[in-house]
Amino acid sequence: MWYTECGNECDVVLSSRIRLARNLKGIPFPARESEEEQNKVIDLCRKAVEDSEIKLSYIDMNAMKDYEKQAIAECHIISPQMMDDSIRRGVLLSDDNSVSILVNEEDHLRIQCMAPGFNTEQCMREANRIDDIIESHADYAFDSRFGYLTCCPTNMGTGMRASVMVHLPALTMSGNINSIIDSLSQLGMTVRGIFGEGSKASGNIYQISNQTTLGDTEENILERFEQVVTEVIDKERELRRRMYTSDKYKLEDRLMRSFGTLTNAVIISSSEAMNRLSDVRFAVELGIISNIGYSQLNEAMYEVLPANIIKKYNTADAGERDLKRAEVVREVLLGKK
Amino acid sequence: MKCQKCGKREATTHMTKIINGYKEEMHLCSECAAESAEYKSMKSDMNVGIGDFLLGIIGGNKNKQAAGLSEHNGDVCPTCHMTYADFLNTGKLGCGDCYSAFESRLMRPIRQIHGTCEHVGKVPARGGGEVVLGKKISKLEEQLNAAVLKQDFETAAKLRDEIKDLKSKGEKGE
Repeated sequence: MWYTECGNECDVVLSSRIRLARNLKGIPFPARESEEEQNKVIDLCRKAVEDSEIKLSYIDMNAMKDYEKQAIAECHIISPQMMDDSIRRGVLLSDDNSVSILVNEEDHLRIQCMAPGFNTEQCMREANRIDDIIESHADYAFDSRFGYLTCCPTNMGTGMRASVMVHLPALTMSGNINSIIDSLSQLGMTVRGIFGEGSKASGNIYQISNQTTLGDTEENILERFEQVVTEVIDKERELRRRMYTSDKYKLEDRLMRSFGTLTNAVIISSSEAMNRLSDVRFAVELGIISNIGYSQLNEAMYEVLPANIIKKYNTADAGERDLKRAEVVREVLLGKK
Repeated sequence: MKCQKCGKREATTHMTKIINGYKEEMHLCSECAAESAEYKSMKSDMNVGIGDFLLGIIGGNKNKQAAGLSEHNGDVCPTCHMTYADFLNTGKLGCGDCYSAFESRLMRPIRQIHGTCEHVGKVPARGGGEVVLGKKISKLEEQLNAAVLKQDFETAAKLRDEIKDLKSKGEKGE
């Protein structure tokens, strides 16, 4: 899977993503489509992809069980809102899960490209390529003044949302995170929890994305976004250094205790696992722990989430899950897998 | 009134808790309030979507009353039959044609969200030529009007010819 890899600036940035919102001309948006139109949009997209060189396989969301949907939501492929199946929906997905096209989410199409580390440019190139391919098969809802027309006016214009998933333990522990969130929003950026809109930060992981999508070119929006993220990376790194030099042993003790818990616990909940994994990641970032790599941490982070455990080990009972989770984390961190 | 918890700052948040008929009042400053368990649980339950804000911006309670929920809110998009009142309730549009059906009223919220109403980014290749040409022509027409107003007829004549050229190009599909 793409997310277990380690990319640029991976001591702070876990992953990057570009999302383009597109709609087809003359067909109401998904919430107001007839079933016939919903199927038409799905067929058109599948055809456009099948005729091209991009390799994506189609998953019918309406045929999926709830925990399967939740599992792909935990991997950030679909939004939690897309789990509702009153509308005919589907996902076109690449083998490594890095490219996905959500069909009939809030908009007809959401083209998503993800990459490990800080690499929004690569995501943008890929998303543009897919956008061009689909556009050669269909007329988009586009207006010369308003740009690409979307269901929610907050996405109109370029329809482009760039985002990065960042690990900010020092900014969070030091209590600076709220002022960072405030300043970023003044710069036109949004900070959210790990699962997007309406979610809380878990494991000190935040999602930063651009707020406005209209009035500037994709390149300029992206450039500004990258500048802001670079600033956040610098601030986090500086604070980490300061925290480590000012209170070395106390910090080491705290982080190593979490490592001890994760490698010895018999039962662990997903929220405890996320928080302890954040500590271990912090220890790796500071060089306190050197025999664990970022790819192991990334893998563990997704493996501990409830629906991913159900999907992989078929454990419906929450107690059994906590037992399995502790085992999985031990194996991943001690490299027995 | 001073905050009940720290006793230093002015109390600005007032909470009333009723559990099994037992009523408890709390008066806290904003900092202590933010740390209290009650406030945190209240905040996590509050899932405020963009729709709620849009409603405030465009329709808002005050505006809605002032407009007496005007008859325009009954306007219907010819393609998807969504009414403007539906948009006020959900913050979501029904189809691409809603943008032209409700254009005049959408300008304000769009400007509030994005600070502008003009798209300058990517243009689809298919039919995109027309779009680019259309943009060019409307810009020249604006300049022409300005020239006429200034009585600068020399520039106006030049612009008029340029527009004529572009228009004939568009018709030939070049």
